[in-house]
Amino acid sequence: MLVDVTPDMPIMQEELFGPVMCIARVSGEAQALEVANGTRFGLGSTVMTTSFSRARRFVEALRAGSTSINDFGLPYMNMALPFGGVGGSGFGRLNGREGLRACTVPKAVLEDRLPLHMPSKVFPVAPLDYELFRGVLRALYGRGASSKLKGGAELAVTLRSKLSARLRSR
Amino acid sequence: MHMSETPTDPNRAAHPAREPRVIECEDPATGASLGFVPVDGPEGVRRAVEAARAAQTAWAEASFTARRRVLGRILEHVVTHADELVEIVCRDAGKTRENAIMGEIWPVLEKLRWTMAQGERHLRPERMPSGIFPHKRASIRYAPRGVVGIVAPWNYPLQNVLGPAIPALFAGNAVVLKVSEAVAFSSARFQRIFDEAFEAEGFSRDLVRLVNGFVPTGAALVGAGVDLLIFTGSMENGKKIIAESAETLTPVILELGGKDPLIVCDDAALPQAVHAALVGVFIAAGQNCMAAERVLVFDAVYDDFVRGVTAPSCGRARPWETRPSTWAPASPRPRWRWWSAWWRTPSRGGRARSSAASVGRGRGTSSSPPCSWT
Repeated sequence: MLVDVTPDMPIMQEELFGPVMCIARVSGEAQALEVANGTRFGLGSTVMTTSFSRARRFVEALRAGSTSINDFGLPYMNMALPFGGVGGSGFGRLNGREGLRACTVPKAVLEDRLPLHMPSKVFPVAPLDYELFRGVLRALYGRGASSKLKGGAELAVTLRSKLSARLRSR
Repeated sequence: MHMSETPTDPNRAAHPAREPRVIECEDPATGASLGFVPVDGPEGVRRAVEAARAAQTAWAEASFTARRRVLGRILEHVVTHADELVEIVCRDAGKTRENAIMGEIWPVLEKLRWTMAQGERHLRPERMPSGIFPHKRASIRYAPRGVVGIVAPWNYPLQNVLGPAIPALFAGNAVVLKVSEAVAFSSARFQRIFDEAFEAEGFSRDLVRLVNGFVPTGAALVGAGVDLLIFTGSMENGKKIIAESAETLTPVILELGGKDPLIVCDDAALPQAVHAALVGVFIAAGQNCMAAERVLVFDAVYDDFVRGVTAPSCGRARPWETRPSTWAPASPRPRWRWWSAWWRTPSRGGRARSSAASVGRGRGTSSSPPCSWT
């Protein structure tokens, strides 16, 4: 067991993978976080505290793939939770929904609800198509009622122009 | 200590001048020879991947019910043969029976249980809102990738094989898994778990193939065209895997090391904190990617905490010790030298508080750290 270890010592930065407890003193939450987040790794983390709010603050601020409050190692035994790290600890997840889905190719699928087989014509481009589409966008996405109404009005005007142009051409 | 004096880890990828054809297996606790296991070279890996791919087409069509039946067989096997599996893990990895049953058997059983109970829910096609196309139906299908390659480390031989293989399988993939050369002896026994389960349910044994070898065997997995590679190991070897995967654009999951903090706040329940720290540091002799490698203690409770973890009651070997190797590591022999180099190198101010510096190979002393029971 090593006591009075300081963050600058190599033993606090390099993974030991051995039976050595390195104990370092921290003045409080702020320093604890600074030291905890101060390596290139970020796999798991454990916080021993009886305060729920403090626990929550650590959960939000610790840069790691998992944070366990008041028990070491238990997150791994909850197989619903993902396991993995950030930074030098790697990327990707095992366990849980994330680990399961990582073994799959998520495939996006779009199918017909009804047996309607009319093409959505986007070509050839005709006069006023630009204005028409702009009207659609404004009507769909305009923020607020007035914006939408303006879009709707533009749409209506453009449609009328297109119709009369078609009638004239006949 | 300057970084250039950092002892180099002999566990890092070694490239033998002549490619060995066999792995010499040994019980790290006693030094006893466990025999030899043939190396699967790149050609063997390629054949395994091909066979796995051929078998996977039928498996991908299997219903979730059928997949659950296979997992159920695996679960039954592990429960029924727990003692035997514990024994082989202990011999191959030099660990204690307690560690094997709590740290390997238990997680594997829980993984099986969860996957059987919840797996389908997460893998079923997921309906999504139609958005601005109300005349269309949107969904996400979770299709299997094909063949998943896994490179496993040595610290939890059984868990490192079944843990990642089970979800990959349940998702409809086949698996080719390269076992660590340090624990090759047990791989044949683990292969049987899968073989018997597949046979009982009428599926091909080629769906899960365990291969043995050194670093080139693992690298060959990427080249053999697996559809996903899951690698657990050192950062250095992880980078090599990414470099290999760039050639084939193979997606990779990397589980590398850690330097996990365990923070003891001034409002911690001190006995709980002491226990958590001892477990976190010494379980499996610290050979855990998620071991608590740094214990950060608030000023106000520092002295009490240090007193707690160095209390005399922590150092006695437990009466239920079953093996002479109370503190044997799972790692290959060179790791002992590496650890003692760390110990001997002065670390500028840090003080050793325990006489456990006498790292004896395979022998626990009366002052050995509390890791002796798991």
